[in-house]
Amino acid sequence: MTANKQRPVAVALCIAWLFVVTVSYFTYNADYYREKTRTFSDFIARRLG
Amino acid sequence: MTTLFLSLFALVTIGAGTSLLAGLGAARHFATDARLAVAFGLGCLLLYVAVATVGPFRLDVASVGAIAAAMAAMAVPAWIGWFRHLCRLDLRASVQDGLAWCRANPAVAGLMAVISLSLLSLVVQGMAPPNDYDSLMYHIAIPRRDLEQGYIGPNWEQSLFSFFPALAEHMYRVALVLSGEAAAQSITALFGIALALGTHALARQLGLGPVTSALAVLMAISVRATVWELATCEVEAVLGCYVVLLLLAYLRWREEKSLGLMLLLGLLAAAGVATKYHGLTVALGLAPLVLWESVRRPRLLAQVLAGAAVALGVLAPHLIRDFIYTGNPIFPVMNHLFDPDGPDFYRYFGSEFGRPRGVLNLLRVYWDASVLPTYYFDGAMLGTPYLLAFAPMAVLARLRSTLPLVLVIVVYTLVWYTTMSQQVRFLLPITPLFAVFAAAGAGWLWDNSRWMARIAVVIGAGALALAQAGFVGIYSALRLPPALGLVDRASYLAGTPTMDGNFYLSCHWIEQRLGADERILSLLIPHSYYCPQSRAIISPALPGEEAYWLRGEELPPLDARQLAQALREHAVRYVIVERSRELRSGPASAPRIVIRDLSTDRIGRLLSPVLAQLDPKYVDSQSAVYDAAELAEALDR
Repeated sequence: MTANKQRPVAVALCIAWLFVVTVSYFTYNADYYREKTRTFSDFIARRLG
Repeated sequence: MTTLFLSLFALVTIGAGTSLLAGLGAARHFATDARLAVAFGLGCLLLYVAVATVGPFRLDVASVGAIAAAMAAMAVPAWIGWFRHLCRLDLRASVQDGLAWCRANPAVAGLMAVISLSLLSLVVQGMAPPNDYDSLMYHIAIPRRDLEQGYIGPNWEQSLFSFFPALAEHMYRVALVLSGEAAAQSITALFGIALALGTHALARQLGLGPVTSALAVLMAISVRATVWELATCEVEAVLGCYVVLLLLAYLRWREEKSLGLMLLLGLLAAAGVATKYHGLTVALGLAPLVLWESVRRPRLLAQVLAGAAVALGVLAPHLIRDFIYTGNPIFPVMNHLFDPDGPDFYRYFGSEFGRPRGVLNLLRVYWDASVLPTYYFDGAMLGTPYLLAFAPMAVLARLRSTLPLVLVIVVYTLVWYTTMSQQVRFLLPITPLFAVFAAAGAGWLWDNSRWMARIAVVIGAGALALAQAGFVGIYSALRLPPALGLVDRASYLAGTPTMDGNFYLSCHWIEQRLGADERILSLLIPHSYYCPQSRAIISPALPGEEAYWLRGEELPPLDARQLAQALREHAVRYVIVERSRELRSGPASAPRIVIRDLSTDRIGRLLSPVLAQLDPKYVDSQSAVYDAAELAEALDR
């Protein structure tokens, strides 16, 4: 793929949308990722004795 | 053995499908990727029709072997063609050409390598012991029951699941008869390969380039629940494969208008319905376009009618079977139309799975399903929201022939939202279409961005991709060790959580001790695949009462003495009782233990007072096994 037509407004809107979706997802799912991180840390700790 | 079976399965189904495709005169309309995928889908459809026709009379090595031999005979012309092609092939030149192509197209080659590894991993993961709720309850449990009893029965004990469309389940029956459970799950992964090929062909058809087409495939097979399902016996991803093939066939028919392509369209629409009733919705989405074409050119009406007739013919064994047993050819869907006094099996959707069904919620349905972890019933099935992030950008990419895809998405979403149980998993069949749009959107964004914007895209998309890779990686880490024999079956099944439990240890304990003429009484919810099936009496119904639910009837009152008598009369040796289950619903997905309350069960309320007086013969945290003779004696007192 090569950079071709520049459409700065459309590109800016698309990137804004990408970040709205990404940040919202990780914010709403923070508890899930916190719990999984804790489970994973416990697992590693058990493995390391 | 499993690898050999899977190779032969692929050879026979693709070969027979290729012959059928050639017979329809439709093969020349497709590129190699699409042709292979369509041939596999058609071959599986042929196998389905054969098993659905023969299976109710006999399901064993002889009958399934005869079906396989007939299909192999049908595949011979295709095999001869492949052999001739191979003989003409200059292997060294082909390898050199391939390597040169990879050097010239590193991005596509890299994506193809990741896709190939993922698909190969899924085929291997399928060889791990089954450990998902729906498969343990019915997708593979009912085929096991049929194999034990030697024919495909109505199986009233398994409630309405025995009457669902069974294309994928018939593949699993073939696998169980000729190979084993490992092959059954890996067949779903073969559908994943067909899904990948089909998605690639569909993306090319819409005008995506080589990189974005490969990206579309990666996006399609990386959806969290798709990755999970492709190594299980669940069927939504299989339907997704047929949705893609149906759209491919439609797009070709729209250009060529040939009878062969219309018949192919009918066959693939029927295959979708035969996989899961949700396939009707996909056919409904395409129907207005097909009808509009025939209104514009009335000579096409005969073609359309022929396609519909072929579809009906393929579905006939299923429709007739359901009608004979239940009076409703599409049982249990719209049951109140066929049996006005009978139960409406989906009436509970509003209360049990209920979410707001208003217009505003409909407009934000994909936001809620993608971003909010537990808004809909079954939670974060899609994983990270990369489809939501990139698919809308496809409006900026100038794609061809998007109307059929959009129409299927809109109609499917409307039906999913208004009439179904709103499980996110049920959206899987249309996620490959979103993947095509998302890849087109991502490609457009990349192509039109300067370096600063590209850094932002890499950061945003990278975060989503990294987290999604976590889901994909965890499923591999769970299933590859048992599949490769690095972890034994018992350790894997005892140590890996699954919704409501798999009860492997207690079921295995029973399997080792149960005599050929002895039975068990099961109070497991669901009755596990790992327990004997045809020798199981499943609470709340005793033998002779199993079809009580069909007309919405109440079971007759039962007292302790009657239960004791039934245990003796039906040669029940063991009674297996669920003790507790681990639930992981909720935003954090943290585990919590729930103790089973037997007092709400017709048989459990009678057993409950006497179980405390007896020592179980086997017990673990999830279940306990009691001697039925001791229980009967205690019930008599």
